[in-house]
Amino acid sequence: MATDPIHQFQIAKWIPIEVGGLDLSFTNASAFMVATVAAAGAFLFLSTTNRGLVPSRAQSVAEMAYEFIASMLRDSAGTHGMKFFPLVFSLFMFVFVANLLGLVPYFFTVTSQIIVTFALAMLVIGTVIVYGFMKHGLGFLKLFVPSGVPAVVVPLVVAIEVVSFLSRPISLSVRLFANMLAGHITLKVFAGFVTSLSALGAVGVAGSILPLIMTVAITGLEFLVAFLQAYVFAVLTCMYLNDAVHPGH
Amino acid sequence: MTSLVVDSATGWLDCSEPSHYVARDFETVIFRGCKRLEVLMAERNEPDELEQRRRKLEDALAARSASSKADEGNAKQNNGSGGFGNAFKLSGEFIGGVVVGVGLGWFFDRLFGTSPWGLIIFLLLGFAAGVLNVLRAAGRVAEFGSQARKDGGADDPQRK
Repeated sequence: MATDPIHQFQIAKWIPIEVGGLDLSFTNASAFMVATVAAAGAFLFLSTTNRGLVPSRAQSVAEMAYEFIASMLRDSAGTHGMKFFPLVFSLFMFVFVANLLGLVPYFFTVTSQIIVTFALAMLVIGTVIVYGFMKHGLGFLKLFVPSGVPAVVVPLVVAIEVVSFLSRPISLSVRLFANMLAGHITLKVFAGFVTSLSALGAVGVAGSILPLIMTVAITGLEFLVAFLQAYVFAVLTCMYLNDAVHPGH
Repeated sequence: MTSLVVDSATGWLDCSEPSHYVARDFETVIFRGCKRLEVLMAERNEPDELEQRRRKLEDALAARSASSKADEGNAKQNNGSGGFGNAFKLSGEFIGGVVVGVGLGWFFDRLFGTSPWGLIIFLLLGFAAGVLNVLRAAGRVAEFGSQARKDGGADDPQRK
């Protein structure tokens, strides 16, 4: 049981709640989502309460995060896209902090649940679609009609483009989810080797050094992946928002 | 202070070609100093040459910031597309296309009772969309609706 690599992703109901036949229980996933929001919010709040012209260490980290996302959004969606800064920044901070919290031993990784990442991706795509139609009306549909295509194949190309557009939330959510899931399973499997090998006696203990080194190395890699996936999520969000701000650009 | 070269013709400090013997931050200090110097010079009624020099300086600064930005972008790109990340990214793109195609086809069949034709057609469409996604992610095909770039005005935010 201790070495079951999937066990860590099990949802446990902490406070069962049921409203009208719907299961709205407060689970460990909910608890860690709350913890993520609290940690990110508390960090940003506390690091900016004593603002100084010469920033303290925490303040400069908060400023770096701001500058990072702001320049990313400005580069990919232009100044018109800056009205989405709160959305992109919240998404980035949520994913990043959730990934980091998941790396703490015995903590639950919120972003390893496909439904969580899928909900985040649907939020992004929903924003793109709603804002695109609000801003450009039916002109938003031009996004699906590439120019310079012979009229005969336009219906086929449009169908492919529409499916491709609809697949964006899937690939966006699957990427984050798969990375976190695979990383945590790998970590657990290698760590499991250490215990099961060292149970074999002196030779096993000597042999378990290799998976131990791997575990340490993979932990380091996971920190990189935690940041990278949050970054990729934010970049893709910016790119998709750019389509909503300027379709057919 | 080796970077401060005095222009023999005008006797001014020549800052248009920053030398690399000083630290980066220090160079910006020097640039700032030069700008102030030029403002002072402007009050001496020598606008033509001054204008020229200022433009030269602005060009140099713009080129510098642009190149450093491009470098940053490249570095990030390289980081983001390590082998492992790339594999996940591309396979996710492809699977996404196929899954959406199948989902749409199944939904279509349920709605109109055309089983199995909706599933077949949308699976093929999904396959095509998946390949398109992969090619797009790999940068081999133009991005969504980027047709406007060919007829100019890529940076025009008003274009719709």
